[in-house]
Amino acid sequence: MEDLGQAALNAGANISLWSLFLQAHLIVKIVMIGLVLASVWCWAIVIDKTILYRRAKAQMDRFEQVFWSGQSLEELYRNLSQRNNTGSAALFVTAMREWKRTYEGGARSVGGLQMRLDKVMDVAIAQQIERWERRLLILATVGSAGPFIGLFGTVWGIMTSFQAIAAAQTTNLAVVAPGIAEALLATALGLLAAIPAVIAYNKFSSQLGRLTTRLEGFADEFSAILSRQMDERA
Amino acid sequence: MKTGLILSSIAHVAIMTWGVLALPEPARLEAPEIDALPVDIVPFEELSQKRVGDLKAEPDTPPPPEPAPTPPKPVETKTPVEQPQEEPAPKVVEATPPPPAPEPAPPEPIPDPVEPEPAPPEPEEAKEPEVAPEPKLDFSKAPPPRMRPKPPAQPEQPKQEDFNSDKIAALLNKQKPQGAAPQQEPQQLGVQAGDTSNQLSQNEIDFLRRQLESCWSLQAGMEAAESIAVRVEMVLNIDGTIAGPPRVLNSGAGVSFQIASERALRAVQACAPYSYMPQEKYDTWSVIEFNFDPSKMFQG
Repeated sequence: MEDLGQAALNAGANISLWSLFLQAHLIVKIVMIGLVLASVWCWAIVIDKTILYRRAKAQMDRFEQVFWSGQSLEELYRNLSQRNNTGSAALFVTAMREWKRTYEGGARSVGGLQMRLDKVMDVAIAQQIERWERRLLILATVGSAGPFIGLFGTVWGIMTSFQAIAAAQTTNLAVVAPGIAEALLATALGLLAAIPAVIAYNKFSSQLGRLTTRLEGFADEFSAILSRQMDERA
Repeated sequence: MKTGLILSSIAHVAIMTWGVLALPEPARLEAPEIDALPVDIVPFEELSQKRVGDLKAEPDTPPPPEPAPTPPKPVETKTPVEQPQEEPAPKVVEATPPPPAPEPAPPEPIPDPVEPEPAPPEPEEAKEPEVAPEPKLDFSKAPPPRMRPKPPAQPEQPKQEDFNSDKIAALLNKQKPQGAAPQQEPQQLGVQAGDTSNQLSQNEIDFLRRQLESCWSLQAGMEAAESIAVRVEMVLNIDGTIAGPPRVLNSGAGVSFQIASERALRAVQACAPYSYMPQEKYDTWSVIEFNFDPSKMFQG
């Protein structure tokens, strides 16, 4: 009894995080590694999306400033069509391309142009949004599943601990404590991965909502402008 | 995406390295050494056997009677103590102005004759006479002998002083439970004869008590429950039938006690035969004293 407890004490003497990880059961180790990888991936997405949204917002600001500055739309289209555009600029280029195709192709009737423009812009908006929200669901998944995965590791580790109790035939806390500590490390990692993921997901989805609204607003406005142009030409 | 992934990986590696290297190892909790508490497991039988009183039994512990005589003896010693006190007391007054050597000498022989009589039984008395001669030398020690006899008088004085009618009621209330005191007797079911080795188990005693109480019809609210506790002695045959008429052992005043005792006797007869009592322990229950105590019964 004494010896067992002492042995367990000696075994659990090293209780740093790294040794806790090394002592853990294989499944718990896998869970922990998976959670760390998930955390890495989440933070990569967070960094990526932060840069992406900031850049998209800046581009839209810049484009709309130029757009409303009274510059000729033809000229603007010529400038932009050479580049790889995002946001409202891409919307503008798509719509202008359809417009030009209609008039430069010598179409006899422009009756279906308004409908075509709307469709084209809808597609452009959908593409933009798809690009913006790509991998955002991974954040949501990690945020909701991370604690469960960590909990699974914890449950497994505690299960192993109790098996250790059963094998050692002693209820000495020193026998159980290291196992429980390493098991709880799994939950800690799960929470560590999930909390930033949840926060970032909420932040990004609200940002995405704002960008989408702005993009749809621009599409409606531009559609109205083109419609006025059509009426003037007709 | 590449930049994000690289940045994230670098940050994670950095944080984890820092966590492993820099995070302090949790402080060891120092568990204080706990002295092992020896625990004796006392079988319940021993306790219940101790509680069963047997008048004829010799006291198994001779020491208890010794402390008993000590309190009365101080009372006896008071008289010898008081005598020397009265003598030293004036001497102290005389002693204060002059410290004459011859005067202390005479009192010494006075306690000496007193000493031989009480001294053999008790060492304490030997001390007291020693104290008595000392006062002549130390005034501080002289008062204590005076004070010692006083304490018995003191508790009486405050009672006389506090003769508020409220407090009388309080005193009376306190005395009542002391007077009734059937609860203080540890055994409800006593055995007069028989060896203690063959005790009834607590279960058997409880079963018998429940049977008897179920047979006992008592009207609630007859009077103060304590005043009508009835103690009944019954003699039983080995087959559980009643050998003779049960007797009421205690006595009480009032009609209610009469009624209660009659009911108790009737209960004893109504519950017969007690064939469920274990025959091999007949010695222990051939004569049963049972306490019909309504206050305990109504408590459950």
